[in-house]
Amino acid sequence: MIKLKKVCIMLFCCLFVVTGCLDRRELNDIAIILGWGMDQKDDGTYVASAQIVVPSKLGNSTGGAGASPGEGYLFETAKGKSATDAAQNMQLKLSRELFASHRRVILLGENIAKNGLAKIIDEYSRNPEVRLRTDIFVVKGGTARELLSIPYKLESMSALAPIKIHQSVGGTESITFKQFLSETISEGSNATLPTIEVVSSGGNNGQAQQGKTFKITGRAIFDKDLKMIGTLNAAQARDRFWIRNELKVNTLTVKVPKGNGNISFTGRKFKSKVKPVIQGGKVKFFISLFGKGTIKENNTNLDLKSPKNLKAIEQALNKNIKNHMTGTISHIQEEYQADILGLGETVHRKYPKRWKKLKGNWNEEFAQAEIIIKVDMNVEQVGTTGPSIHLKESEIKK
Amino acid sequence: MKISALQIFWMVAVVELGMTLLLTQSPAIAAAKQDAWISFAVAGLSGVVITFIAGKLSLLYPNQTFIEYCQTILGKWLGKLIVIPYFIQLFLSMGVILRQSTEIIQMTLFRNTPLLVLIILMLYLMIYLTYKGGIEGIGRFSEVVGPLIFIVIILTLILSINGMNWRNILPIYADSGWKSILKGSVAPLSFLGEGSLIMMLTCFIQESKKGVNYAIRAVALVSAFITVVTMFVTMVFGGLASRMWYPYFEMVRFISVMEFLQNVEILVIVIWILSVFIKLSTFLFLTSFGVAQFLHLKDGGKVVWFVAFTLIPLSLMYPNIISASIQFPQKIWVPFILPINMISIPLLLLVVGTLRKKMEKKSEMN
Repeated sequence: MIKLKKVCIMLFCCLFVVTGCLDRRELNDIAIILGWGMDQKDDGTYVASAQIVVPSKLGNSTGGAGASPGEGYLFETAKGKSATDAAQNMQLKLSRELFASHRRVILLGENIAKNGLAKIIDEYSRNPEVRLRTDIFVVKGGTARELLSIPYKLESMSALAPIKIHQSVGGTESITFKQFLSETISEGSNATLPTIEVVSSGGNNGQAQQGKTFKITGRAIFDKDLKMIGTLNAAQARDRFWIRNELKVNTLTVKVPKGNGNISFTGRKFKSKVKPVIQGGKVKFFISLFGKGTIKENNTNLDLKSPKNLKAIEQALNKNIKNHMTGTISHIQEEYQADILGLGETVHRKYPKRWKKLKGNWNEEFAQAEIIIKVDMNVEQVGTTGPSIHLKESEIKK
Repeated sequence: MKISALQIFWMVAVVELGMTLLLTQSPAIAAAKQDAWISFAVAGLSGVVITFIAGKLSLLYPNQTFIEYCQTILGKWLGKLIVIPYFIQLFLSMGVILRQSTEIIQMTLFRNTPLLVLIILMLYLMIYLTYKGGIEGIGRFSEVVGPLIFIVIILTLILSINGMNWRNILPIYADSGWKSILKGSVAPLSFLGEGSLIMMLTCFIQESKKGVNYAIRAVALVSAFITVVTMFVTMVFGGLASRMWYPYFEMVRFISVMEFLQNVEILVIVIWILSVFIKLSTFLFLTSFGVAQFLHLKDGGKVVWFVAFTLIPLSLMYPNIISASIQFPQKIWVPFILPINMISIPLLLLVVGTLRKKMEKKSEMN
């Protein structure tokens, strides 16, 4: 009997320390942020905008019950002195507590990028709620607020669209923020972020009026103070990915002189090897680029069954890529003097002792470095036809 | 009330692993950058040596408890005096571990729950295991949980592979040099050196020689393991790791396999709580047992309650996480506990003890 009493008292005492419902946070108590945007006004204050999941609507739109785009989320904005301050002000309008754990995309207006990111990006890695696995985009020539307010038909949450577009054009998979931070703290490289632009979309569901949509347009380059100093276009951004060994997929359309027309080549295996050499105090880079893939379109009169013609195509690819690459690199070297290709890191790894002297003014060294490019493309498949099927026998060049 | 060699293996391994993995990577990487894994290897080797010395010492008198053989070796008064630093070590470390662990639990899981509630809950479980199970209960618990902890960590490493860039580990050695590498190894060593507690555990092991042997192996295994984990962390985060409080935990948070397998960090928190729980229970047992023997108390069980309650102020006395995680190790653990408790005293006892044994043998022969 006494034992039973003891047990009861023990259990009762437990009630006071068991955490139980103290920390409950149920789905209908939280406002899940999926997309987050930051803009800066001319007076220096920040404007945050957020796309918040509306769970009940989200189910409908995927079920195809006719929910129109833009219903799956709530769009809200607020002013503030920092990201957290703006979130606090936004909370005043929200019945549910803001919850940032699932924030997958952060958009930064061009103003903020030009004024410098150093004063605004700390929260994205410090807040214990958030994850480092986040994509960040710079909204070129616009504001994050405008971009987040555009509904996007293919995704019930339009904030997800930039991530998916970025991946489908050969970009990295939700690690842009981590890479941005790595580049920022590394002495041998300058940071970059992908850019996105608001553009008009071609026809809206057959209606005459044109809607708005957005487009990944390349990459923004930052200086050491994290101020945006320029941009690369989409093709140049892909060149950068390739040199950094991050390119996943790419389609190249080149003219083949022998066949008097274009071919389109889709590659899925891209690699690069960067070999730095220091000769007499000068840094030289040998960059070898490799790629394998399939020919998807052949507008030449070449018969792709013949190895000779394949060789000609590969040569055309090599030449074309080399030219473009050289253009991209000299554009970066001359225009920005900013090593966004990670070349400094390769010197750091190969010549760690010399690097200590070089790293002080690496960007000047980089701008003057000679870069020798070698391209070796390999056409593995040519599609389902040899010569183009519509050509007459006499037109085909064997 | 004896435990097997295998149980001591897992007990030492778990005691060493949890806190070292979470708390020493950041200072080591900050000091030695991408060469932090070398720091861990160095610290691991030194940790094995420390454990070896402590183990040798305890094997001089395998059937006596630490407090008993201190008095056998140094005489009654000096022997009593020399165990006092160990009481200080155990009390302080229990307090700080309790604080750090509950702080992390609060940060990651229960943000609205007061720290005191989490501390009391943890203490309650510790008291239960120590009071009801004693060292045998702790040993059996480690035997069950230990392999699980290692399996989960290996799993997280495998899942991290696709986010790795092995070049992050280059250049080896050239950036840091020996000084930085040694500096980076101090923090891990001060944790791995806790293997020296084997000198208090040997008297509870059935086959003491085999048990000590296993304990040394456990320290070696954990060191190798953490060296590998540090390499992984460096390869995933590069220089970013030195800015993070808990790089390994962040690496697990970063896991994403095909955008599908994500958010697995809760697994790590669970096994980590288990690991800390075993560590705290082991320390609680050793302290209570020691206090009871030191003060010649008959009822060891009540001492457990007493010790546990003193831990509440000892864990709450730190004003913030920085004083518990950075200042405490820097100002107390590394300059005092590591050289005095883990190295000097065991060495002194070993030398004096060996001489005394030889003299006894001589006098017997004469």
